[in-house]
Amino acid sequence: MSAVPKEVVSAWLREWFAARGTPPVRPTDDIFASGGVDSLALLELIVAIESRFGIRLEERHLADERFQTPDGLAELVGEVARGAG
Amino acid sequence: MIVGVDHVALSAPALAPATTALRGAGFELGLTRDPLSDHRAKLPFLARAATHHATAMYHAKQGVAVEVTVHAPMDVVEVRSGYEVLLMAPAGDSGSVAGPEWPSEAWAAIGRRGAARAWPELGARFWHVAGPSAGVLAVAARVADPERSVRFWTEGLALSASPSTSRKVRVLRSASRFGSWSLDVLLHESAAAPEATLDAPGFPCLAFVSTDVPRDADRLARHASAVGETFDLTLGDRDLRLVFARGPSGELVELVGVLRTAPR
Repeated sequence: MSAVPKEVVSAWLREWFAARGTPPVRPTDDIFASGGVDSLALLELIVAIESRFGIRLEERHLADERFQTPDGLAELVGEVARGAG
Repeated sequence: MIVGVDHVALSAPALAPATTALRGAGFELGLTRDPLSDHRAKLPFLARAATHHATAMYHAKQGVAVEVTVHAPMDVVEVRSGYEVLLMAPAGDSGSVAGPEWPSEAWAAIGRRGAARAWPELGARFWHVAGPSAGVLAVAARVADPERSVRFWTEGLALSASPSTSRKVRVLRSASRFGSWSLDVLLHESAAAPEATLDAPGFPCLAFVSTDVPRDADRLARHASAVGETFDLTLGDRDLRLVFARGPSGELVELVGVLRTAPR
């Protein structure tokens, strides 16, 4: 696995949310409260992240409290991508 | 990986009165599809062969969603099988109804006390707790072999078991940290309920969200009495993958996932 800068993940997340047509989601917003992420959207987000960044998210990653905001998620994905998560 | 509980399915006689009833209880109508083709993989889980059904999702401010499905016309409007649902809703005008009682240990386990209510528009009976807003608080299933059922729900469906306070009642909780997709499942030991089918009146099925349906179905198969064929379905703009399964005491569950596609 290779390193993925947080900025790259953040930019991709912005595009992902914008493509869903939801109101703009700020870096520290709770994506479940303001990002329109319901249960199936969460699955779509997970599989999209895994496909885009070539990683596998596990239960402990979903349990990570950073999996709540775009900022935290970008950091978490970056960590998993470089094998540190 | 199972992320949590997505919804509890309710099989009702018709969509329009179901919508009126659920809106009245505080649920908001979401996606509706009528008709929606039935895949052959559903046949083992239906009492009557059908080619299509209607479906609608209803969301509350708290708790899991309710899905109403309408299959062939029902000639028996009563709860015959499936889950007993504990619903919080503003006090309604439906009267209490007679029927099997929840054991007192079950009420004690969840720290609430409610009454059985009839919901004629839905062809269902449910357990009602008065509260300011609507939401599914818990479901209960009658199981004949608690140990086997606990393994089905914990090892197969990733629920966690709370310390047991009663020999007759086990309280399990979906592991999701996302509040809306968490649900308490109470297993109470008794003669198993008649085997549920998806078109039986009442609440026949619990749906879980899965990041990998085939893999989770394999894990579930080690503890289930039956696992159906995995199939794909397009619902709205989503391509879904589903599988139905039956627990050791006939509990019907469904795993729902999204299809993995090329990178976007």
